[in-house]
Amino acid sequence: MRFTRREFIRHLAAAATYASLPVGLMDCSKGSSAFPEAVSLDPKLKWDKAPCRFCGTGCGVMVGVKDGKVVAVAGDQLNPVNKGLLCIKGYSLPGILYGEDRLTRPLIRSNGALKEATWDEALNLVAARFKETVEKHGPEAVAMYGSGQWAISDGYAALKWFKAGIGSNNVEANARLCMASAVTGFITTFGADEPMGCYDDFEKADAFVLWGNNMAEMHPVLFSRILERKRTASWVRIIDLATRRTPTTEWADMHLSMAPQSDLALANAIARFIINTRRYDRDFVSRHVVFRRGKENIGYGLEDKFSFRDQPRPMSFDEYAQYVQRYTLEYAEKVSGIPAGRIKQLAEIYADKFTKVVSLWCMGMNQHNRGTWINNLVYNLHLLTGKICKPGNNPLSLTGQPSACGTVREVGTLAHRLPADMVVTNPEHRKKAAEIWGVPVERINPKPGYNTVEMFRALDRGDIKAIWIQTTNPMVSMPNLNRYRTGAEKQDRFVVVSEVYPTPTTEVADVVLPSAMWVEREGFFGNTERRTQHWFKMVEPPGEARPDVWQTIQVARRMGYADLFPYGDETYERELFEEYRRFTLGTGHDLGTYEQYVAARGLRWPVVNGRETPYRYTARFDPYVSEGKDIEFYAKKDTGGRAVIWARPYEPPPEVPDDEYPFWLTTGRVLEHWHTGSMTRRIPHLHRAVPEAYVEIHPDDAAELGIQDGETVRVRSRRGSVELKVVLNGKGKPRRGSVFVPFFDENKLINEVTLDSYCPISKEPDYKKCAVKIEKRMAS
Amino acid sequence: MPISGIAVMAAEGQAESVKQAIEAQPGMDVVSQVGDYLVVVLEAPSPAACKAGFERILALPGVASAEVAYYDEQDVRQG
Amino acid sequence: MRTAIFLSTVGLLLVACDQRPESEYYGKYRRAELRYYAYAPPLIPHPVLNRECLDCHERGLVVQGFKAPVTPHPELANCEQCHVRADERIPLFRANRFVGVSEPTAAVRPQPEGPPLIPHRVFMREKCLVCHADPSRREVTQTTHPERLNCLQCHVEQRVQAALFQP
Repeated sequence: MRFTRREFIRHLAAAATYASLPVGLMDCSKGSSAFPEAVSLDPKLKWDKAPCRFCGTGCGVMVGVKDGKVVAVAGDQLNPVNKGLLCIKGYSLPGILYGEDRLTRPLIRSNGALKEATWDEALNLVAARFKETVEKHGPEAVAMYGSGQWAISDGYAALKWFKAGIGSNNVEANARLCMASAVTGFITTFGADEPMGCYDDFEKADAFVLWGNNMAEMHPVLFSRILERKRTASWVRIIDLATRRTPTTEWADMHLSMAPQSDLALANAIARFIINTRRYDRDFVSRHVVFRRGKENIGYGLEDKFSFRDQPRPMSFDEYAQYVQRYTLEYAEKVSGIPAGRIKQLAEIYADKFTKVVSLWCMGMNQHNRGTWINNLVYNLHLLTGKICKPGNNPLSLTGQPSACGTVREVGTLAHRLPADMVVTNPEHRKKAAEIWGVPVERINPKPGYNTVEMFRALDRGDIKAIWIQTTNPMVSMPNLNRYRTGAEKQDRFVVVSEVYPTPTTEVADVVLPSAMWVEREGFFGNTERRTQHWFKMVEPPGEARPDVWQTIQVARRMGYADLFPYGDETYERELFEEYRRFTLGTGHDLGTYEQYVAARGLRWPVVNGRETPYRYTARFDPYVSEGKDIEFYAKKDTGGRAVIWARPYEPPPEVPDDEYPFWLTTGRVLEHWHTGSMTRRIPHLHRAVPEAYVEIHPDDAAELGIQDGETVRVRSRRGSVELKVVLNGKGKPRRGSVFVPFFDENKLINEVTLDSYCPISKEPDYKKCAVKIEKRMAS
Repeated sequence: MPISGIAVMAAEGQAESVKQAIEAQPGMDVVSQVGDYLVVVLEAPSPAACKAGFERILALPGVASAEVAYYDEQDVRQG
Repeated sequence: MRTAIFLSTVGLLLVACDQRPESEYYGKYRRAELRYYAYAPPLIPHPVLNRECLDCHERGLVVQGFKAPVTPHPELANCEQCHVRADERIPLFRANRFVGVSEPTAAVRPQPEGPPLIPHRVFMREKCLVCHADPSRREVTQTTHPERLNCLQCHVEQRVQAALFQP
């Protein structure tokens, strides 16, 4: 067939016009057959936006729904977070809904076995047991343990039920295990939680310093943005400061292999270098910074009922400069094992006025027995050099979970918190909360509740008798797990678990409630860069599964708190959001309206006059900065709007390798699995990609021990042991003298080996450091 | 001779009458129809005539909206 | 539970002997078998011997008579972000009932003689010819006119719903 030129152009015109038809504007909600077979790939396939269910990056996905089932996802090109890109977990999202063993009916344990029950039976039982426990043992004998994977409404309803209803502050979330040090780091340095910078920095920085952060696997979409920056700007450098070689190392311009805990010494040595070479930003420091020194030698939270209160003392710049003098490059070399010359190269990157630096970290700095300190110390470097609050120049604390920020940190589902950065210990804050909730202020308990580790210790001791666990799997994720599992299994403890699949946590439950997840319900998540994203319910949950928020409201009503939950059955998501939003207005944490989030691909708070704020504390972007100031840390009220540079020392971890237990143990995640694997292990290809946990050992250590690749060994600590297959040259390679084990595998519980020490300020456990030995299996 | 592709949206239930009205115009062809949407290819002797043709479509009774999705004139002159 | 542990141990033994000759893997899989659903990235059908994927997949190295499929997005360097090796011989952890959307089978032509629309998303597949002018891609429509090069001049993306792909 031959076209004339004219026919050819006509075809082009027709095709272009055809493709341009604004079919998306047609009303799809009627399930209309407006798309005949000829024009759509599949007329029954409908698409809508949602944030990814997995990590704190907050990628946008388009969810394809057909015949009431999710059948596909596609990266959302309109979402500025991921610009269409996803990782393999994101692409696998549809499968997490359809595992064959989804929980679809409430279950009640009787005679040791879980038996199906009706919602009424289950809800009445939970309400009765909680009520009875509060009456007999007081409000502090009940607890709610939630999650950074809670949607905002889940967390808000739980918080309101406990703090405005029961009068207990025992609301915690697994984000305590993941982000608490980031929170206390932000609060102590800047007076308010969450970053000043945002993802826009990835396209603007000249150097990315990763502090113990395997971004290529843990935040792969963001790492791809960094790689794209590096590809298009040849001078860009990636510095990988780590205790283990990882896939991230492959793209690093500099890999600094550091001993565990030595980050404290390194950050101080860099600060000293900046000061001694007189390359700190004098103007910035004199106008925006004060200096403080806190308590030292502060313990490790290993004993029950551990408590700690910091006592900051002011110091001058000269005193601070004096304080860091002991952290010479040589001292840092001795502690970290990194040659002084290499540390100096890293210090140069921070010191050089013309290099825009973004520091990134996640669990390496947060799951740290001095987590608050190391967060403070990295902020110090940015504050000393004035490399902060400027596009391309910022520290950025990455979050692990999809709504650790949006729900746990912003709503405040922690033992001492109220919404929008308020705390229960502050009478003004209690007053404001009581007003919004319409309860007498005395109802809000001024005494903080149990933090997560203490909460499970209290359950073990019997100080907590009833606990409700939602959207998390502590019987895999708690450190020193043996103790806490024994506690949960004790006779008179009442454990309720809201879950989507059977897990080791449902195994210890007295009542299991089937949950609706992700697009089986409406919800909001808030990601790392303060971006709040909304999604609609797109499919029906299986069987009788219901959202966690619905379950909480039902039980609260049955306990007599119906007046606190007057929401409509169809509209509670929106009503809860709008009520919660009232806490945020005028505080610098302002959220936008429900309608704005329905329309937008997320907005970064504060949202003021309908506009989001990419960079905080800087007049160019942030409407909260006072007139006439360029930069103002306005949330830090006690210092007159100045950030704090903290003098924090190096202190060793509580357990270090010795002759008997000669290796460091570090735990962590893998790209293919999400946390404890209860969702991703049910995806065939993800399970097959990484079917079980393993132990990575340095080949030289293995040779010394006479251990072969693939051999099964036992990793033992003073608390427990687990058998694992050895991987010598896998994706990751730990430095000599340390081993790495991922924690996703419920059949090989590395957390029976880990230590439950925590940062005294943030109460976040350190999963990255304890001492173990490697035992060869006896020939049998 | 310019050639233009125009996406026309007819008011509900009026696609058929709009289609006939467009077909009756000189230089216009409805090459495809999807629900209430019509794909129209318009050929006109000059750019001005093309624009006038587009405005005639907009003015037709039963047309809810119309949008130029494609426009080409240079190649046509050469060819 | 015990069964699950046993099965996953069997699975690992299989992985440990994932040393079959390359001809066992290459060219053995139908396109759809390697995808979770139509829009998902393909899995890696062979053991990952080294992690330099682009050595073979940037230009299409021929190994034992089989040409490695060329990636349409070599600029995205972290291949394992989306592509994983999943040995189908490893028993499942738990069964899963997910059924994904299938690949479109035929492209639509707005007019009988007109150029066909593109029945899939173009994003990350902008280099059309690596699939559509490669005889080793058995199940992909092959173009009759690869010399034209600028495919998107005539072939445009067919959209299910405008909001998915455009503001």
